Amino acid sequence: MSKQAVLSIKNLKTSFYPNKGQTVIKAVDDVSLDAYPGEITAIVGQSGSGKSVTALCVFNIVDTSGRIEAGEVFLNGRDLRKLGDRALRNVHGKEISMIFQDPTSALNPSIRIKKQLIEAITAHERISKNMAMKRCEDVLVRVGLKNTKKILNSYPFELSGGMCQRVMIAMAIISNPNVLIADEPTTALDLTVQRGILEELLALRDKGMAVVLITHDLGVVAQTADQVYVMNNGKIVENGTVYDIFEKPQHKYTKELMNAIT
Amino acid sequence: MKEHTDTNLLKRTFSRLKNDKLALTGGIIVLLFILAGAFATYIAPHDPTAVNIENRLLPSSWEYPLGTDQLGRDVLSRIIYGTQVTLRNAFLVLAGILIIGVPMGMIAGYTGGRIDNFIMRVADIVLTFPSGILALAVVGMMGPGMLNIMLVLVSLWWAPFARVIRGAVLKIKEKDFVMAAEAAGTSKFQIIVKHILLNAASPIIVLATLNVASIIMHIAGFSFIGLGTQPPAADWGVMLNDSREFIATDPALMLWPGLAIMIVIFGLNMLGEGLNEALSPHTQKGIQRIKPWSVQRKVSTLKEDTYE
Amino acid sequence: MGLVEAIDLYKSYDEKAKEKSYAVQGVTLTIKQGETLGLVGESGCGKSTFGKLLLQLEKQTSGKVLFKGQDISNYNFHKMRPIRRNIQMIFQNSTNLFNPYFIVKQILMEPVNNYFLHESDAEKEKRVRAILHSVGLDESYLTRYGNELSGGQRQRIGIARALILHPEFVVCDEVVSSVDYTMRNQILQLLMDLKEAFGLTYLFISHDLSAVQKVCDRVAVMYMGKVMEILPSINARIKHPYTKALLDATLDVNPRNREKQTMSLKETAESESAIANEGCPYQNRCLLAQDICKIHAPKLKNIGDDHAVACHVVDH
Ligand SMILES: Nc1ncnc2c1ncn2[C@@H]1O[C@H](COP(=O)(O)OP(=O)(O)OP(=O)(O)O)[C@@H](O)[C@H]1O
Ligand SMILES: Nc1ncnc2c1ncn2[C@@H]1O[C@H](COP(=O)(O)OP(=O)(O)O)[C@@H](O)[C@H]1O
Ligand code: SF4
Ligand SMILES: [Mg+2]
Ligand SMILES: [Mg+2]
Repeated sequence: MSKQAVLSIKNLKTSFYPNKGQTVIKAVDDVSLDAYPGEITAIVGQSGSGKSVTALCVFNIVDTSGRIEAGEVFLNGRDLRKLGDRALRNVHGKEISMIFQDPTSALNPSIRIKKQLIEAITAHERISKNMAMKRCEDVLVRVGLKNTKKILNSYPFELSGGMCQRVMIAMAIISNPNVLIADEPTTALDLTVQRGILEELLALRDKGMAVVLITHDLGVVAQTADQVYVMNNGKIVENGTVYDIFEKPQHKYTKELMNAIT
Repeated sequence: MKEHTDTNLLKRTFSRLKNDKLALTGGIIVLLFILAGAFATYIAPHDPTAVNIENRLLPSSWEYPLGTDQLGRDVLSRIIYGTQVTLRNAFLVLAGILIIGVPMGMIAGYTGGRIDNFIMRVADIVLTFPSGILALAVVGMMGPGMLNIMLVLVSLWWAPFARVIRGAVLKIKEKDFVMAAEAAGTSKFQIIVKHILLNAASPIIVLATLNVASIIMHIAGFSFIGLGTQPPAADWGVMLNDSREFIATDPALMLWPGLAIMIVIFGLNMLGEGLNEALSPHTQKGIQRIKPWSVQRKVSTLKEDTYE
Repeated sequence: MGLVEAIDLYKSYDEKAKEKSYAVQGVTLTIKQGETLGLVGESGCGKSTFGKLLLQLEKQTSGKVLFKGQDISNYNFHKMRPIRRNIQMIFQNSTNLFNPYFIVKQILMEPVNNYFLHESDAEKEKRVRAILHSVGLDESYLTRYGNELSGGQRQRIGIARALILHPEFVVCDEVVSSVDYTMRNQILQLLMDLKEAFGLTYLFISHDLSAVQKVCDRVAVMYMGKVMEILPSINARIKHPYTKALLDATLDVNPRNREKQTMSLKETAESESAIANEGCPYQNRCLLAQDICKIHAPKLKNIGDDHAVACHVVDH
């Protein structure tokens, strides 16, 4: 029997209806995608092609000016779009987590890291304060942060972008979800740290997590991805194994992209 | 669906408010009261101070829709003029609070350092004064009267306002766009107005709306115990006071001013909540409030740590 | 004399704390007229802070910043304003980049309104449109709010905002980190074209070594707020162990080459532990560390050919 996708997006369509006198923005236009456990599925594509919006749709959190017009999102066989708010809250964080393109947006700037991390744990389980602190420190070490005590006591704006991003990853994996969507998780990180983060993602994959990785860095894709989806103008223009995409690109945009590597 | 991205802030706020039934109701209530107060001379059926002992304590009728009081004055007219007095005084107090509180909070938050420390210590001290006791003291020295009460309220209530604004400014000041504005050569004045004040506007407006409610309560309260507005001028507090003696025989006399106070405060609170939503640059579901581990639509339940 | 000079710059964000920690520690760097100086280094090592210090957007704890020979490090807000037109910064991408109540047109108009006072509205708008086109966006974006843009679009508006004034010196902070490769090449080309046409000078902060390689005349490598190495090009006779580690960490874009490349980093429990206060800041992760590294901090030493390195072991 063929393997079963944990996350399966089917014919998703999302548009934004902005200001009067402006045309509708078709951000995501008929996107289908499957993510399998123990694999890294990469999404690459033009800037503004709808990668982040696709991810937001999975969580049903696009701006109110945006509308999901068609399509289904299956997670572990259930259609997330049919679940109520309460059921969704139990799914988010426990079964599926997301790391955002911009770390500073997801961290509340006026709350210490410690509190935010602990909140991430206590949202799903009851745990003593000491245990929670221990888990927080462990998870920070796992994402390659030194000086964990100091970081736990800092406000997000005191950390550099890269450190914030690592805190975010820690927050996302603290409850061991099945699926992790990472929207440009290493964009703000330098190479040695990026290495560490990618190795962490690979380790998560090897433990059976399905990782969806949105990135512009073709080096990252080449080194980590199993499946690759290429997006352009809201559409998936090409998908296949990482070898297919890198060695036999079919679509015009993919070819352009591969040629841009220097 | 379309409304929230209107490029005009005012338009956007209005169109969002229009879709929020509670806020809209609150807004209409408040607006009706303001209109009633403003045009009291035109809509009040009688002279609110015209005494007519023969007509005392009449039940409601076509002539006197809400009846008359112990001196035969028309209750409806008195409520309408009371609205005028109460709202005017409340808005004057609010204006005073804003004129002191907003600049204080802005200066403290924006400049930081010693000035900030000084302003905040003063605010702390002011915050420890109970308004009732200070009011009594002032009245004891300068005699009863609404003006004295209003001065007391202004001199105390700018402090919590300044605190909230300082907090908002501190948060906004850290954002990249403030530094970017400086880099773009924007003047200090414009940075403060266009970037900081604009972004702090929503907490200020919301707080102001809610503050009016408690100012009204206090004004009515002080008038009720006879320290505020002095008869024959009448605000709702004075009317409540007058009706005390008749609570057993004519409870309606107390009912009307009480109801007026309640409805206005109710409306202000609903409007305040609605404004809070409508003024925020992002919609509820906006990316700003999402957490990576649990995507909730509600703002975090965590209390924010205070900066020190 | 350079266009911009940093002399022994220090910056600490916790100035009141007893034990200060420095984001930038004693950096002395000269950026010559017309050159592109690359600045690479770990995230959090103080690259952005250094850029902001050069523009006086943050006040240094000590040290000096010279622009065209004049010491601007004690200029106040008003004295800086006329200079700001010539020195600009493209901020690192984040959702706080723009005032949430501003649409793109207002964002781009802000610097124009500050400096092109004599121009008519039509002329100003022409500037806005022109710069928008050169970063690959069309007019339909003018009425969008900052939060309605994708990451890459936001970054490009940030670029437009800095370049619209035609400054002489631009700090480019991670300008191509969130756009795809084709757009990246386009932006780099734009920066290079402007340099060609107007003789611009850049401080190019990035961790994308191939982009640095493409556009930079010299590269400075920073670690924990200190300059470790300055070299003409990233693979010209690299000396410093940290620079080597950076280069080793570059990912191969060929999916067939996936064998674990050797890391020139000590990944021990020790490297997770506290950051060294004395000696070389890199000692805990360095493979070549000696006893002396724990005691004395190495000084930046010129070893000829425009090449300087701060390391006890390899500085010859
Ligand atoms: N809140 C919004 N309102 C209106 N339009 C939006 C909004 N968010 C995104 N868009 C538009 O939808 C399209 C897709 O955006 P998306 O963020 O998914 O791009 P992306 O593929 O992630 O790009 P990048 O690589 O630059 O981050 C873009 O054209 C963007 O401008
Ligand atoms: N506004 C700030 N307040 C306090 N600390 C800060 C602030 N900005 C940066 N830092 C600290 O300064 C150091 C350098 O940060 P930054 O210059 O942003 O690094 P980079 O750009 O190299 O990633 C980091 O340790 C960071 O925590
Ligand atoms: S001085 Fe010593 S610890 Fe520092 S980089 Fe050189 S060899 Fe390594
Ligand atoms: Mg994106
Ligand atoms: Mg930075």
